[in-house]
Amino acid sequence: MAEIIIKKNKIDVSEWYLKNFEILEQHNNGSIPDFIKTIKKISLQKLIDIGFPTQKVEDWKYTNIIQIIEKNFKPSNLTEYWKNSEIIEKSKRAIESDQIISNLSSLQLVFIDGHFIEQLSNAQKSQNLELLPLQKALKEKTEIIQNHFNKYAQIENGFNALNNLFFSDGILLNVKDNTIEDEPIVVIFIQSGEEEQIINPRNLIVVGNNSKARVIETFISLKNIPNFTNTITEIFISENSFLEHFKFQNESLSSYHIGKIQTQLEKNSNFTSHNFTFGGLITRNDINIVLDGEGAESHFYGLYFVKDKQHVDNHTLVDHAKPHCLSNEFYKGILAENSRGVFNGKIIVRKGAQKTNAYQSNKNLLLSGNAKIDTKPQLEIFADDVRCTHGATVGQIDEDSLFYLRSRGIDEKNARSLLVNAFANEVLYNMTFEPLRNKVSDFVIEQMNQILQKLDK
Amino acid sequence: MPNESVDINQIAQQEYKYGFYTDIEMETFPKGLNEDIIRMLSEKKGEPQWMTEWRLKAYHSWLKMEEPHWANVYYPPIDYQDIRYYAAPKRRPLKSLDEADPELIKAFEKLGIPLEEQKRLAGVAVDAVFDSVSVATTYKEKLAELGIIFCSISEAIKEYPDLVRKYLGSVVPPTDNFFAALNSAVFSDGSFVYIPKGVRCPMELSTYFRINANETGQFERTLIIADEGSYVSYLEGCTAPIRDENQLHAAVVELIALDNAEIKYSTVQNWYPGDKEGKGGIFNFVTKRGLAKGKHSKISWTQVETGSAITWKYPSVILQGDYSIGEFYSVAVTNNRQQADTGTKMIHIGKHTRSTIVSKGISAGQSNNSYRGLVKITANAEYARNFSQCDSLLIGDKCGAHTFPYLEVNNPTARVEHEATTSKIGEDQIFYLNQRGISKEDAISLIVNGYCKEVFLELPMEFAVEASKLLSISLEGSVG
Repeated sequence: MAEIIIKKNKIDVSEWYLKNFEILEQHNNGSIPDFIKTIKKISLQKLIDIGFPTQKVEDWKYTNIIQIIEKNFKPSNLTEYWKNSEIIEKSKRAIESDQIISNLSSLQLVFIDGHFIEQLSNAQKSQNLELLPLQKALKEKTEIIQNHFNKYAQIENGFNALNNLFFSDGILLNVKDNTIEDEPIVVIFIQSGEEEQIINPRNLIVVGNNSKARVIETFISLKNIPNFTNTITEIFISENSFLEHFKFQNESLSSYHIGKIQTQLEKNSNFTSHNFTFGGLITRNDINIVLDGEGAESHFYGLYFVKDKQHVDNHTLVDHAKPHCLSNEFYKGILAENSRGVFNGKIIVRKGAQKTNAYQSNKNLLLSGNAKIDTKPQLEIFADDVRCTHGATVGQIDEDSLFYLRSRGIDEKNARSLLVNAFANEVLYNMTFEPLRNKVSDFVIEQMNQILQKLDK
Repeated sequence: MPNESVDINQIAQQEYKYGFYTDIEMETFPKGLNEDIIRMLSEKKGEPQWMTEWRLKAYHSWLKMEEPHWANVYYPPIDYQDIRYYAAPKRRPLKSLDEADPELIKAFEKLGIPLEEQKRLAGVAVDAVFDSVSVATTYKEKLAELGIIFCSISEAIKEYPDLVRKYLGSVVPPTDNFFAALNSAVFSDGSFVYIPKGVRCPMELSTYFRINANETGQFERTLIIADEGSYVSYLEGCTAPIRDENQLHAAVVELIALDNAEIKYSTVQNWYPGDKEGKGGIFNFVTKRGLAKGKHSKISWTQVETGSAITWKYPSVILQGDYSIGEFYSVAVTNNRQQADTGTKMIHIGKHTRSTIVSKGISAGQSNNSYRGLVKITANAEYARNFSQCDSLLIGDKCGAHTFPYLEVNNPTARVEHEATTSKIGEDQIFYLNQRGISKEDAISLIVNGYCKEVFLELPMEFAVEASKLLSISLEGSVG
């Protein structure tokens, strides 16, 4: 356990991480490009200055991260379990048996403890699609990385800075102009769980003009021990392009997960995000987007279905910087047992961003007396010719609906399962990629049945 | 639209109607705040020892607190040592209004509270607070026949110490927040209402607050207790003269409703909002909270906020009794450089408690208007129900509208709904009215009034008329 020093709004970064960063620097031995060095230098100072957030910080009001900070997670850059063939084999089986991501696509990149595993990956090379591990790209595609890396994601808290310091691997996806890629790109991050580790995946996605792609990011773990995943994905979408992004947080129920997706949209582009949280003990997602070109469009869909003592916190920020943009957000939560959910959706409409349309809705279903939800939709509007709405609801399974189903001969358990599934499907229907939608829908039903079975005992 | 803008400019130059200053002899304390000032204040008011100690205790906890800055408002730092904490008209009317300074009576007449006349006609009992002291309470005897106590709080401290000691600070403790602590230490006067068991107050009780003197702060304290099965409707209005510097107003209002009691509290707040450049105006930092303590009790807040340079208040209800009801209806209008951060808190503790929130924000000019609300369902609040709706209307492209609703739900049987919309006045709506021969200004006033109707309907009759007039004045010239 690290000794932690808590000041009013900050928790000082522990010696542990500073020391490990020094070790990593020696380990890297100056083999990283200069611009990355500069980023690391700034990030280190920032980390020391701002530390980690306490609950006094408004954005972290409902999420207590002290238990993450006080653990000494070993940076995965300094471990070598990923080289172990047994673990690779185990990972392979885990992927094959995974209910959601198995057999989805021929384009697949796998990372164990943040390191790229070539034998499990299949990143075919094509003229118009550059898809390769970030560490490799740092050497081979320096230019594109220099242009986009760390340009969009600001350091908002210590975790972001930590990722800048320790980021291991991830993907660089560069979709060139006029490219339509129908095959989804599956990116799998696996925590081996051999030791209490922190992995810092880092992805960069750049989409050129008039292009289209689909990326599925998944996080799973092999063992049920405390691990920490701290990830950042930066996305840049150029004019008239479309990117659909999926994120599945399906790690073990003892894992900690802090993730950030930062997107920048140019004129007439479209970003659609589907964010699913099923695993993790504490999960925090920050999904931010800047609509920085006229006619840009963003759609955020989210579903969190948690149980046990899970805590899930979704923060989204939609920043309308230019006029004539549309944003739509729809998050649903199902909270069972002793779980706790937090939703904070913020929409900013900047001065001059006229003719903005922004919609946001968050609906929650509490399945048990000990489940809890704190939801805070937020609008900040500085332009007058706009149409913005938001709504939030919290409730339980409707007794009337239950009665209706039972009066038609459906037993209570099935009726409940049916109603929960219907609740979730409202979000899932927005997934245009059918094979994946069916898999997620089945997964939700199974989760629900597990919870109901537990109740029976 | 060149013609329209000329008209609008003319109207925009209309100034704050209540901005006069009444030249009456005042007795004031030196500036600054320390233990001596508090003792002096307490002595001046002839308060018992326990009250002095209560104030000092609040003062000491205030010293340890920091001024909060989380609200979405920006203002220059306040120097608490540069404020006079007591100002009173020198010739204080003791027995009847005839003894009052004629200037003072004139001032009240100008404000539209003809104390004399109301005695006879309106049937509204008025307690008027001029700067720091309560100058007149009408209709007192008549109310006393029913056992209703309606007097200034200073009087209540002397006459009904048991009641005051029992309830003062029970809903808003002196340590509640920075401004509540300050108020507890230095509050000079305010109203006290007690409605005995089973009594339905036959008339609307009303208080008029006015800041007159220079460099003073107004710190009034209102305490309303509705005993079992009683009902009271209470109105509050506020004005202040035009001054270049900012003045601080930090009031505390506490409401307590016992079993089956109902309190309806309506406010029309029209403090001086500052001029077009944002110079001067009142800082309105108020703590208002009601405790629905008994079963089936009900507390309802209705507010129309058009004045103040900065409004920072959250009339709240703690729903402690089972089946208790909390309501909040608000219209907040900001124009020019006004800033408002207002909303409510509904804390559901009892079972089957219900709350309704309807908030309508209108921002014009370069103002900023925020709704900030909390709905909290505690773990034991079975079958709690909340519905919130907050709408914002933007007029012009330099203003801002913000909503910060917090929903904290700890019980699965709760049903909580929140809805918010932000929009501008539809061009097709204006076109429709224009087409029927209604001018643009009138059309907008019609639409805005319609938009606020839900809240105005909750106001007592006289206030509803005043509120709708105020609304048109506040928004005049903001449309172009």
